Amino acid sequence: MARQVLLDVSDMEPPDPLVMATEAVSQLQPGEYLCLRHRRDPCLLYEQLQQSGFGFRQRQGSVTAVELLVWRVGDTEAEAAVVAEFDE
Amino acid sequence: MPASLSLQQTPAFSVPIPFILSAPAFGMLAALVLLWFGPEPFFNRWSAESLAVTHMLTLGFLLMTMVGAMQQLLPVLLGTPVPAARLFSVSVYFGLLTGIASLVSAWLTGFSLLFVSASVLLGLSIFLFIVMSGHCLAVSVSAHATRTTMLLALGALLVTVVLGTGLSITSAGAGSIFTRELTSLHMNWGLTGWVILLLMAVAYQVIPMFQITREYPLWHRKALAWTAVTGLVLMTIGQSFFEPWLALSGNIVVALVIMMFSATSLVLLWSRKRKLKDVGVLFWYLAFTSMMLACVLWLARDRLGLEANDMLLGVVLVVGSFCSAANGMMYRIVPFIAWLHLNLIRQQQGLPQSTVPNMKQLASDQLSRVQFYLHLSSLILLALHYLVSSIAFYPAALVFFLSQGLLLANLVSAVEHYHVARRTLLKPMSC
Repeated sequence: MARQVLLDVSDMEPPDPLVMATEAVSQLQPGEYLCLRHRRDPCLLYEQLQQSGFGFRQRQGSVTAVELLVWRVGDTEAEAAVVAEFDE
Repeated sequence: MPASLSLQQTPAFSVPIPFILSAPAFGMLAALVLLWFGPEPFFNRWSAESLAVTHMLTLGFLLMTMVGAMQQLLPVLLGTPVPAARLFSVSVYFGLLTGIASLVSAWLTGFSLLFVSASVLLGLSIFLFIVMSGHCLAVSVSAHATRTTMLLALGALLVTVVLGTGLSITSAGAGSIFTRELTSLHMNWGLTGWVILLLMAVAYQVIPMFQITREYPLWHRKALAWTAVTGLVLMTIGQSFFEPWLALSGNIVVALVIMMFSATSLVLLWSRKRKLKDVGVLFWYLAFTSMMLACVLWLARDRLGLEANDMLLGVVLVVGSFCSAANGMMYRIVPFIAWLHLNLIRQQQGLPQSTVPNMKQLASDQLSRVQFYLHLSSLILLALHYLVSSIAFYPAALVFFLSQGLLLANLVSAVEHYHVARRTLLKPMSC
C-alpha cells in the first residue's frame, strides 16, 4: 500500500522550500511519494528532480496554490498511487 | 509537465557581483565629496557638486545595483539567460565605471571635455544594456507582470539616457539642441520612470517570494506601470509644448501611481503571513515610507515654502526610498546568488544538501542590522540639515560614509564566505 509523505513549505522563504523538498525526496522509502504544498510554482526544483531520478506531477492545490507529487522513478507502487490521485 | 527553470542558466558568480560591490564604493565616494566641499553647494540643486553627488548615487549606487541584479533576475526569474553573459557584463561594467567617473570628474574639475567622454561611455554602455536586456525580455515566455513592467522600465531608461547624453554634450558646449529645461524631464524619466518601474517589477516578484506576503492585486500588476508611463508621456508633452496644465496632470498621475505602489506594498508587508525578523523588511518599510513622504513633499512643495525643499525631496526619494530598497535587496541577492552557485556545485557532485551553508550563514544579520540603523540615522541627519540646521550636515555625511562602508564590508564578507565554501566543496574532487 503506497503512502503519502506530506510537506508544506508554503510559509517558508527561499531557498528553504527547495532545500527541504530535496531532503524529503531523498528520504522517500519504496512505496512512498511526496506531496509538496507550496504557494508558488517551484520552478527551480524540477531540474533537480529530473537529474536525481524522480518523477513528478503538479496540480492546483486545495490548501495551497500548488501541489507537487513526487515519486522515485521505478517505484511503480508510488507512481500508480500518484496517477490514481490525479484520476480522482 | 510544468515549465522548469535551470540552475545552469544562472550567470557566473563573477557576472553580477562587481556591479553590486561597486555600488557602496560609489556611496562612500559620494559621502567623501559631501565632507570635502561642505554644506554650502548642497543647498542648490544646480551646483556642480550637487549634480556630481546626485549622479554618484543614481548612476554609481542605483544603476550599478540594478544592472547587476537584472543580469541575475532575467535568467532565474524569467528563464532568459543573457547571451555571452561574461563579455556583456565586462563591457557594460567598464563602460559604466569609466563613464560615471568621467561625468563626476567633469563636474568637480570643470574640465568640459570629460562631459564628452562621459556621454560616449555612459551612452554606449547603457544602450548596450537596454538592447541586451530588452532582447531577453522580448524572447521570454513568462506571462508574469514583471516582464512587461521591466520592458517599460527599460523604455524609460532609454528616454533618460538620450536626454542625459544630450544634456551632457550641452554641458561640454558641443551643442544646443538640449536645453536645461529638459533636465527635469531627464530626472522624471530617470527617477519616477526607470527606477520606480524597475522597483515595481522586482517588488512583484521578490516581496511575495521572500517576505511571504500575498501577491500584489491583479489590477495593480496589470495597470499601474502603464498608468505611470501615461503620466510621464503627458508630462513630457506638457513640458515640450509649454502646456503647464498637461504637465501638471502628468505629474499628478505619476505621484498617485507612486503613492498607490508604496501604500499597497506597505499593506502587503504589514499583513504578511509570517513575520520574519529580517533586515530586508526594515529596508522595504523605510523605502516605501520614504516614497510616500516624497510624494507628500512634492504635492505640498508650494505650500511648505521651504527654500531647500527640492534638495529635501531628492534626499527622501533617492537616499530614503531608492537607496534603501537597493540596499535591502543587496542583502538578499548576494547571499542568494552565493547559495545558488554552491548548490549547483553540490548538485553536480551529488553531495548531500547539508554540505552547503544556508543564506544566514553567508551574511551576518547582526551587522546588516547595524548598517540599517546607520543608514536610517544618515537619512534623518540629512533631513535635519535641510529642515533645521546645517550643523547636521557633517554628522550626516560621516554616518552615510560609515553606513556605505559597512555595507561594502558586509557584502565582501558574504563573497568571501562563498569562496571559502566553494573551495571546501571542490576539495574532494581534486584529491
